[in-house]
Amino acid sequence: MNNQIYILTFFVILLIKNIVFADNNNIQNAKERWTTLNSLILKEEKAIKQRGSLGPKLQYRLLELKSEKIRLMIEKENEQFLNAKKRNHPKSWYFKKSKKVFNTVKRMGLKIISKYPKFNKTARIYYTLALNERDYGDDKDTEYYLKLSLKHAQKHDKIIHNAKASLAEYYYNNKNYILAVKYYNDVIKNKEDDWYTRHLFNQAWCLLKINQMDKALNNLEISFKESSNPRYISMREQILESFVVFFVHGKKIREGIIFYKDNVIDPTDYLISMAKKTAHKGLFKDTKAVLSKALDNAKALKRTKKVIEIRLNELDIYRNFKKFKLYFKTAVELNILSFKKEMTAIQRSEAVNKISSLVGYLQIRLTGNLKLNNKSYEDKKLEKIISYFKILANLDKINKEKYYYYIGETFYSVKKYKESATAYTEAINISINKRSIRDPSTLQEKIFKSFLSLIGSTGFDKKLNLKNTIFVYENHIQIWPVNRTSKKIYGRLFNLYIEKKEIQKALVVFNKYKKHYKNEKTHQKALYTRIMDHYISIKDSENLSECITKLQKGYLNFNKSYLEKSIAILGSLLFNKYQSLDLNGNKVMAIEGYQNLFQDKRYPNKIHAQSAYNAALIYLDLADTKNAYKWINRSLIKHSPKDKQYLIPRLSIIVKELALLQDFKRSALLASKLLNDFCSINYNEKNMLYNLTVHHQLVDNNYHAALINFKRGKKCQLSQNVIIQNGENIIQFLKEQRLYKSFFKFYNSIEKSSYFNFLAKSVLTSMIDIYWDTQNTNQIKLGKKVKKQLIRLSNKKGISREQYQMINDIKNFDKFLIYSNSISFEFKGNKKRFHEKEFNLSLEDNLKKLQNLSIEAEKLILKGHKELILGTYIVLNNKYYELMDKISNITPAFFNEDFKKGFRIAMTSLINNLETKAHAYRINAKAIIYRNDILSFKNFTFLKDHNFIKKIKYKYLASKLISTADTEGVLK
Amino acid sequence: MIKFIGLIFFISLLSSSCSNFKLKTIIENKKNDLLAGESFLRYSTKRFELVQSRDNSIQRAVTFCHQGKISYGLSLLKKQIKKERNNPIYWNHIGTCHYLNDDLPKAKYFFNISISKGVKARTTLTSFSPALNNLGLVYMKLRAYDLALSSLKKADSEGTLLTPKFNMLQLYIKFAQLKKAKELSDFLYSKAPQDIDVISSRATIYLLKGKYKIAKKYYEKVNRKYLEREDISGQYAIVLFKLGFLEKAKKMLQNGQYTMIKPIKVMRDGLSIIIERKLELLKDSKYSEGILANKRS
Repeated sequence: MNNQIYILTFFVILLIKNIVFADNNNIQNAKERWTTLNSLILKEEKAIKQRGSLGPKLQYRLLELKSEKIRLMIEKENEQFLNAKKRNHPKSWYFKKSKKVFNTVKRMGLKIISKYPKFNKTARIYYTLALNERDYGDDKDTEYYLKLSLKHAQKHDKIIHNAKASLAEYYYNNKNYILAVKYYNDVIKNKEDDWYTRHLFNQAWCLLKINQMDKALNNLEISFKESSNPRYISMREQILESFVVFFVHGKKIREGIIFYKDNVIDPTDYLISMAKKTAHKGLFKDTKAVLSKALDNAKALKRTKKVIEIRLNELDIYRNFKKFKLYFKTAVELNILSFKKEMTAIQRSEAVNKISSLVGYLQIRLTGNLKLNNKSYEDKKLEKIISYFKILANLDKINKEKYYYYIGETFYSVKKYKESATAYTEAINISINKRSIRDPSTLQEKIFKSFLSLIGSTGFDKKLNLKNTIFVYENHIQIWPVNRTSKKIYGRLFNLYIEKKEIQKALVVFNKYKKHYKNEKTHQKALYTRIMDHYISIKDSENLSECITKLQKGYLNFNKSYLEKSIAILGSLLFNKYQSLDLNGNKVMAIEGYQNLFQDKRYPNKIHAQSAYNAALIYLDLADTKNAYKWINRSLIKHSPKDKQYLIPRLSIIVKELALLQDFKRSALLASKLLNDFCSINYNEKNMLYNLTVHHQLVDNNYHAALINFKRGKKCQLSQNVIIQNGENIIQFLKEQRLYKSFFKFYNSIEKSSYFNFLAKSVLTSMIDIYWDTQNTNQIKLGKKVKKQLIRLSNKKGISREQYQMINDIKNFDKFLIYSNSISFEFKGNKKRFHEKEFNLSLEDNLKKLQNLSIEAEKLILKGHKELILGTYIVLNNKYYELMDKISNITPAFFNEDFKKGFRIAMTSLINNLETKAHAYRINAKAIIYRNDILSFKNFTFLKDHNFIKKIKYKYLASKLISTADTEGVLK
Repeated sequence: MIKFIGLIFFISLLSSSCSNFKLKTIIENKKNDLLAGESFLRYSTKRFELVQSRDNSIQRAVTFCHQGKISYGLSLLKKQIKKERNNPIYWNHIGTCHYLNDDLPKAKYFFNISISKGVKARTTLTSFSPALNNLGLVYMKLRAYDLALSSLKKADSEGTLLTPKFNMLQLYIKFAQLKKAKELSDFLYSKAPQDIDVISSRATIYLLKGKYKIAKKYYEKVNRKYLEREDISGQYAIVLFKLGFLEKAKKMLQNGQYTMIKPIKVMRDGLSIIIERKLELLKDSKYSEGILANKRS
């Protein structure tokens, strides 16, 4: 039975050991072991309890088992405690079961001791209680129980060593180093203890604590040495670690270095540790020496990671000791090392953190000085900071843009704007390459914000740093197309491009702006205007035309007046070339150019219209009226009504010019077209155009066309005066050209019109002229017709008194003629026989008739009209000669020759008198003719040989002999 | 077909008025041309060539008009418009071309422009008097004789040209204003006693006055070549007839240039008949006288 218990106990112990020392990674096995062990303990307990009453040995055994059980229970309870999601209870609640067992075990132990005071295991019981106290209790009674254990231990009992060791440990833990040393002195005497090295090690620490360095070092040395002995547990690693402290505390740095070098293949870690310690102690030189050694060693062994680690430690140390030059050097080294794959992420991160921390500090100092003291900064310091950032940028590539941002900030703080801009640019470039544009980061925002602020600052010359400015603007709108800042940037960037004359780029910006800000039309219009202004300045008619085409379709809602102006400018650009050709005399080429523009569908109608117009003007210049007219018409088709109206003054000039170029037909046609097109509206040239439509057709001998145009006067609401004036022109023309048929037709057409009364005077004057013309040219029938009309007209309104009088005179002359013709000179008293008395009476009667005729004639002569006067004189003259002839042919019948002779003498005397009178009338007539410069064919009547002239139908062809005056007077 | 065309041509010839036919008033020698320095109307081809060889484009142009090349002359003038726009002489030339083409409305139009330009320019005394003169000619052709006279008088008063005087002379003769005609004739004759038309006009004045002897004296001054001109020969024949030189008169009519100008033709025919009748009468009376004489003897 006891053997079973022992075997079980063995397995239990073994299992406990396995559980305790189980690989943490092998949790499943540990669980199995725990279960097994627990099961074994329970089995042994059960086995022991089954024995009935237990002696102290078994009770002690139970004590031990329970102590083990406490351990297992605490394990479980600990697990529960750690896994508890919500800890609603205090920690002690979770360990209450084990605590219960602990108390039980304590009571048990004390009970055993009290019950069995002479039990030989009392010391062990006390030792167990002490360990339980230490491990599961408050550790208050540990010392007490350990001392009791020593007290009750029998000589040479192993428990004495254990108890002393535990007591030494207890005093060590409670910092009672002197006592600890004392007990360890005993403990280390036992070289059989496989914990010998451990005890030496512990004592060394106690000795260190009481500043007994040499002894402490000695202990460590021995422990280190003995650790290589397989009898003892190896404390090598711990000692190596501890030596760092001991050497430093003992100020045996050099020895330490040597020790490590001699005893460790790779003492790097220890040296590093040592360096940290020396640094902590403020021993810079020593620290540097240690690090230097560590570095050499690591390099020699090609332990790059270690080198990095050393460098990292150097950073801390140099910073602490404010050795910034060395710090920088180390940072540079680290930077170089960063390219090696051996640098771990953690090391990299550590390097970054350390350097960042310093740089941040330096940066603040730099800017702080500036702000506080307004002193200028030191260039070298600035350079250093920038270099650090660059190092960081290399070390921490993921956040590279951040460091460039910081560089930018640093430069900005010292007003080195150009460099700042460069840095910001770099930062942005990096950030863009890293991320997609759709995922802008907060850092990016910051960078842009700073960059923009830089550009906005007064010290930053945008023009000098144009590249940077454009860069930031471009990228800003790329990343944030819709954004409060972007909204402002569009315009600025646009303007920059315009100033640089990079129009395509400006357009790209503009289009983006327009796409994203549909409601900013006012601003966009202003921008677009600049594009157009640029095209204008470089005379790019093609692009300008494209712009205009867009505007015409409503692009950006430009107003009409702007559009008009733009078209005008386009026109002038397009036409510039051809205008030059024209001015230089290459008119044919200029025309060709304009005609090509007219055909070119790319341009708006207004350009076509203007081109055609310009071509027409050149044709006019070349005196080619046919083509000029043709192209004017083409121009008019393309012009809008408003433009046409605007052109009227110039077209009116062209109308006149066509006439001057002797193309009256086209002149009238053009004037007519304009009048027609603008019939119902008023404008300055309306009257003039109307006049020309009539006048020029008349000049062109096209009376019918003139008449049609004349009739348009009323339709187009021209003033009565103007219509009347043209009516008079037509009347004058028809009279001049002797188109009497048309004259009367026209007269009939206007007779019933409202303005006839105003034309009546002209009509009458012309009719009177026509009447006299008919008389002079022997057109008797026509003359009668005209006279009939004149008489009828004399009763109409509108005729003047003179005209009325004239018609009356004509009527009176007719009457005179009738009267004159009615006078026949009859002589009575000479038929079969001459009766003197009868003859004398009839002679008297005839003389009276002649006298009366003369009286009537004189009335007419006094009227003053040349034809009337001459006609009257002629009638009178004829009548006198008629009488004279009649008298001279009278021979008294049946009378003698003497009577006849006497009669003849008497009659001759009478005839002479009559001749004298007739002659006087002729003289008067001639005088009147001369005085009044009368040009009448009747003048011939008063010539000497008038009859002969009349007989041979003599006509002097003056019109064949008259001469033009056209040699300019310079030729002789 | 040719016969048909010929017939049409003949009918058109018959129906055309006398205004279509011109008197051959060309004078070869400028010494015989009173108006040589003022008018191209009586220039010969040689004289035109001399002018055309000179470098005066508008002058050249108007000479072509005088030579019947109206379109050509006008086209040359058209091209000069830019340069000569304000030159009254330029417009006068255009008017002259139209006048020579019998396009009187256009002639009038351009003469009026010339006058207005001349008024504006007032550069020389003769700046617009040629146009006034020519306007007078237009009025004469339009049979507006009062206006013609007015225009010619104005031309005469505004400048120092002889042409308006010459034209007024013709006008006065036409309307038997012989006194005034004589006054002008005296002046012009004193200037150019060798000018054919001046001599002829003077002779005509005396003819109409009935002073045939004096008229004959003047006709005898005319170069034989020109004496045969249609109008001059007819008039001279009248004078000869009136002075009793019947045979000479008859010969003059026969030798005179053939004319298509109706009034001249009518007059010459009329005169011819009278001369024939008279000659016949004389023949009869001489025959009778002869018989009587024979009887007496």
